Amino acid sequence: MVTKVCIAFVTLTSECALAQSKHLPLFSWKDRAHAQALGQIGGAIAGPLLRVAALFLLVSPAMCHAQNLCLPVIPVTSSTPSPWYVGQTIYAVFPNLAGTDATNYNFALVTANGNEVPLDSLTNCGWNSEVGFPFVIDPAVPTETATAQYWLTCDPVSGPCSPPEGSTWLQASFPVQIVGCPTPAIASVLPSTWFAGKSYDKVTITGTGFTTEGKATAACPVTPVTITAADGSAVPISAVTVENKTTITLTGVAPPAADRTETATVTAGTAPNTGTFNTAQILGNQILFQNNPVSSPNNPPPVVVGQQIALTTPPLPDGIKATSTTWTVDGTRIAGYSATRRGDKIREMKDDDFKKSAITFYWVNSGDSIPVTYTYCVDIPGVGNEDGKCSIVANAAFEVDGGGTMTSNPQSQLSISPLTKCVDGKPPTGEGPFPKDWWINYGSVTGYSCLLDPGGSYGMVFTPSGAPDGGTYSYVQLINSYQTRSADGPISTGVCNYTQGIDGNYPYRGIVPGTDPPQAEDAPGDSLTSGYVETISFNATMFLMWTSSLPNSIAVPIGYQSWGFSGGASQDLTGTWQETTDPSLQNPYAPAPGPIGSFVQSADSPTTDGYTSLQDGYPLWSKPTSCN
Amino acid sequence: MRNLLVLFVIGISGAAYSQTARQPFTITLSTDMPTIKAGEPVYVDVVMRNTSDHDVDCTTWQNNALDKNYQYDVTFEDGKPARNIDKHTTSSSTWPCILKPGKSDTPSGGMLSTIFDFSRPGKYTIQVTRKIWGDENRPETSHSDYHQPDVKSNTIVITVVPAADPPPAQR
Repeated sequence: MVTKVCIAFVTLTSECALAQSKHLPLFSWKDRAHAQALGQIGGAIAGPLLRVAALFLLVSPAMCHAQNLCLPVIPVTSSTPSPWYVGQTIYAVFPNLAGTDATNYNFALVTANGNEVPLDSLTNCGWNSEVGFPFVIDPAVPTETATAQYWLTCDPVSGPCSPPEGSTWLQASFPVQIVGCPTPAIASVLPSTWFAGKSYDKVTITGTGFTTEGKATAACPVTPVTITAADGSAVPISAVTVENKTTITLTGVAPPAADRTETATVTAGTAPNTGTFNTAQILGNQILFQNNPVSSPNNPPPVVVGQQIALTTPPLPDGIKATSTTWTVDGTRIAGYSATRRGDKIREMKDDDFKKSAITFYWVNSGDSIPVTYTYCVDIPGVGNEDGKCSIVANAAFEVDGGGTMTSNPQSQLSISPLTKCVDGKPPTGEGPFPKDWWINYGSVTGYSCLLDPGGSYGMVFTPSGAPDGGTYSYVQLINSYQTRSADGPISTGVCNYTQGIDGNYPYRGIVPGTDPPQAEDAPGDSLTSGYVETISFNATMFLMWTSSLPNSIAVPIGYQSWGFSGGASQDLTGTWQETTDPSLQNPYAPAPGPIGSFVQSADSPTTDGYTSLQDGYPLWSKPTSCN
Repeated sequence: MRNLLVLFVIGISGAAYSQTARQPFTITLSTDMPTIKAGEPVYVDVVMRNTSDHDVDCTTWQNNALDKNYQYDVTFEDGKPARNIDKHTTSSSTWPCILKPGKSDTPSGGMLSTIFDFSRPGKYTIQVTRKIWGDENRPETSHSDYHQPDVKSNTIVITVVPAADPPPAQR
């Protein structure tokens, strides 16, 4: 009787499919009749036997039917030709065991250092005593020398064992040269620096051990190539062509546009038979704001007018220098602003500011989705494609908050009132009454010439609103024209024509105490001299400014309101001062007390407010107004 | 006799310290153009700081490009006062101002050359004084403080060079 017991492997699925269980002594089977033909060889190779014993628990007689042959067949005998190629089907055929007590055949390949060579069974190629049991050497096994060993054991279940149960018989042991799949080695990748967002149609890999389509087998397929960025993401490749065993051509190497600047690894082959090239470089292009990427697909945080916008870009890798860098920034943007009473300075962006790897500026006006772009170029052989050696354009769209308005509360007429004379720059002290001067003012004020009483009515009061939270309002008043005249009959004895310029200081100091937001006020006046006819005409523009509380912010203009008045005063026959509003006295710039026109929002395009020049919406002055 | 003299000196020092300590604000004088050519305008900045525990009035009396609520003392290098050329223009604006304790004001002052002649090359020493006034209608001082001395600023020196000299290097 012949008892055949196959090792139980996984369910059969297709012919010559590799079994799922691997790295085991490939096979062991029973053939009582054959075993009885063998003499006792003695115990050897205890390690593999333990594995074999385990496998017997999975025996399934149903699998032991002869199947189609899986050619080519290499019978395993001591004269089996070597080398054995990984993936090649090999059939183990053993001598007749008739007349022995041996019941199980065992086979293993052992390397010089004692490790078993992983073998994969061909589960559906079947087995029979005439052909043998098929197996393949795992494709991952490298080229190496091993020792093929097969041995016999006795299974008492199938009959009496002699020699005793547990004994093994080494039947044969002979050297085998295993030839593994070629292991690729990459010597160079050209080009090996790629701009994110661009596609490279020809990337050439040179090296050794590449498997072409013509040389490929199921075990040793065409050498695959993958590219992995440092962040672990895969770099898409459209096609891999193994030209020959030393050259691979990649087409459509296309790092995604959002990739940052990082290294990448090119891998050829299948693990563990791979070759790598670790120094490929992806050149990303990002715009950073506050150290965070804000270019697409990211979005920058909202910003405000006057906020310092310092944009940077990630550093290029060592050894790569940008040959050119180009920024574009839309909207009204400036490099800086400073002001004193001696003048203000709007520092415009210079061409060089847009040709650095970082840029700092301030937006003056608000806007939605204001675009900023950045590109750079490098000069590395092989880098670039038809677009040249420049990065893709990094785009960022900023939401710039700003704006605001200013309302005015004008008095309708001038008034004449007595103000107590200040003495040596302070209100007089001691027992009164104190001498008073008569004044004509735009508004209605009382108190002293140097110190008004609270509660008076200023000619103009400006109230701001609408600017973003987290900032402060301030004002600049420019005097456009201002004339006072004292006339004694037809002769003007005192004429003061004020020059164009800032009214006092920067910022404007005429702030109504205790107001928040601060209200600006003005009540220009002129002291009257008995016996003289006084006339006064005044024209000014009040600019509303706003400064964000964010660090390094600058003041930006919100808008302006021109205003003015004209009038005069004369005494009647009793010596009482009378305010006059004779239109003939009125300056053409100030036809009536109050605002002239309406509030004008600042914008970059107007170059004048009608009286003085504007630059990017900022008022310009070079000195304070003074009496000529 | 020597002991009496020492006590007398200590007494004077203590009185001076007491007066200074009661002054409700300080004023700091500066200029961003310490050297100018003859004929160029002279500007000074004056900043008040409230060192008291109550509000202080900092009203500006803006008259011909200068805050006339300060008194400006300008002395030429020969020790004589600079020539006063104030036109005493009659027009002005008075801008009320209240300074909270611990706060500093925005710069005032102005174009000092509207009231002093700086046409003569040389060094001009400038100091600013502000009166301490009181009024029931305003925060700050009471009438009892009227006799406090004026608050004086630091002194600065502005150098006027001949107009033909090379442009001065500004700080």
